[in-house]
Amino acid sequence: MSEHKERREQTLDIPLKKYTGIVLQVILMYGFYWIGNLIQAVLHLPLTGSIVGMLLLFIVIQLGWIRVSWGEEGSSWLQSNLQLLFIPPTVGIINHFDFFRANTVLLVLGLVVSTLVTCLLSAKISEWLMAWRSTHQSKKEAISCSHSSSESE
Amino acid sequence: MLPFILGIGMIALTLAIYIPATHLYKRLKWPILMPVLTATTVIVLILIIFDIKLDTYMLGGRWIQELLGPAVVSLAFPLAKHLDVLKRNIIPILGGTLGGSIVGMSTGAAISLLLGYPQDIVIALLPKSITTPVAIQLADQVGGNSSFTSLFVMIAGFSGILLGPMILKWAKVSSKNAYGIGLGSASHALGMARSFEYGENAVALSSVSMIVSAIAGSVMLPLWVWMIYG
Repeated sequence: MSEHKERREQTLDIPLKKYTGIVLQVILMYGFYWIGNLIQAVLHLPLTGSIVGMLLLFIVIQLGWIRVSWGEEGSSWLQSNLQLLFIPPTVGIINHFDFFRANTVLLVLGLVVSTLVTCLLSAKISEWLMAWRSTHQSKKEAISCSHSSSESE
Repeated sequence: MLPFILGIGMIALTLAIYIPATHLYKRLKWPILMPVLTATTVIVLILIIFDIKLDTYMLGGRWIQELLGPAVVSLAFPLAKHLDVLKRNIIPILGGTLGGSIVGMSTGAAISLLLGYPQDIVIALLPKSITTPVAIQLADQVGGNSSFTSLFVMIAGFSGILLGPMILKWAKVSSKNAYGIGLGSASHALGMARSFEYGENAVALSSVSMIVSAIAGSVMLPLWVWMIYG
């Protein structure tokens, strides 16, 4: 009926051990980033090295060579501190204040409209495809679809 | 030796402002107090007041920015974790996200060209719906101004999470999963955070849409630049 997730017993965390783990995991991901950059440069791919590295890591996880649990802590540490990483590129705006003084209103308005159109279209298309799929595919899959989209109770 | 010491100093300065900023945000939870906004404002003010050049700040800043690469790579873990949700909804995700990306980039290009912005701003604007770490690297790679990109991405994020759900309700979108896909492909990580209101599946779909639109965007952006500027 419903999926049961195993609850692992909470182990006592030694912060030092935890942070050593995070550092090692970030180094692992940096390694994939580096390999991704190398592949991107050699093959002239129209992707960033980081995306190539991510796809590579994803494949390696699927092959079972790296377990999800080996990188989860480092991954969630990076994700939860993303805002720190955005600060330096954003500070770069200091060299462009003049542009903003002249253009703010129209620019922001344009960005907002474009974003809302994107949001609306993505949602509409995906909803339409979900409806199309549930009428055209096997009953079993239709059930799993309606199960996943009926959380109103 | 001096650049190295200055670099360490700039990293320390950034952390000294970022950490209290996150605590303030956690306590009050006002979107306007997001650490990237408050910390950036404070740092910009410090640079102006003490007449420090951007290049000097970036001696340390670039090491922090360098972590954006592994941050993108780390998305492979949530992607692998949510693989079953992804497989079950592959067609709606791909259709919705790709449709959204194409429309997002074309409207962005149309507006910025109409307003007559210079090339590096137009290119910086195109990846606005892509998650910041990828958008910044992309803009850098194809000649956009990446400081603008990070601000544009933030504006897209905020407008999407504040107004997106209203628009979707107005357009009578009823599936909560579709809310997740719409928010993830228009407003990346912020949209994903907002999807928590629509259930666990919506969050998973939202994160996958964010990743798919990052991949689709990386392929499409050079094409757009080529189409517009030859």
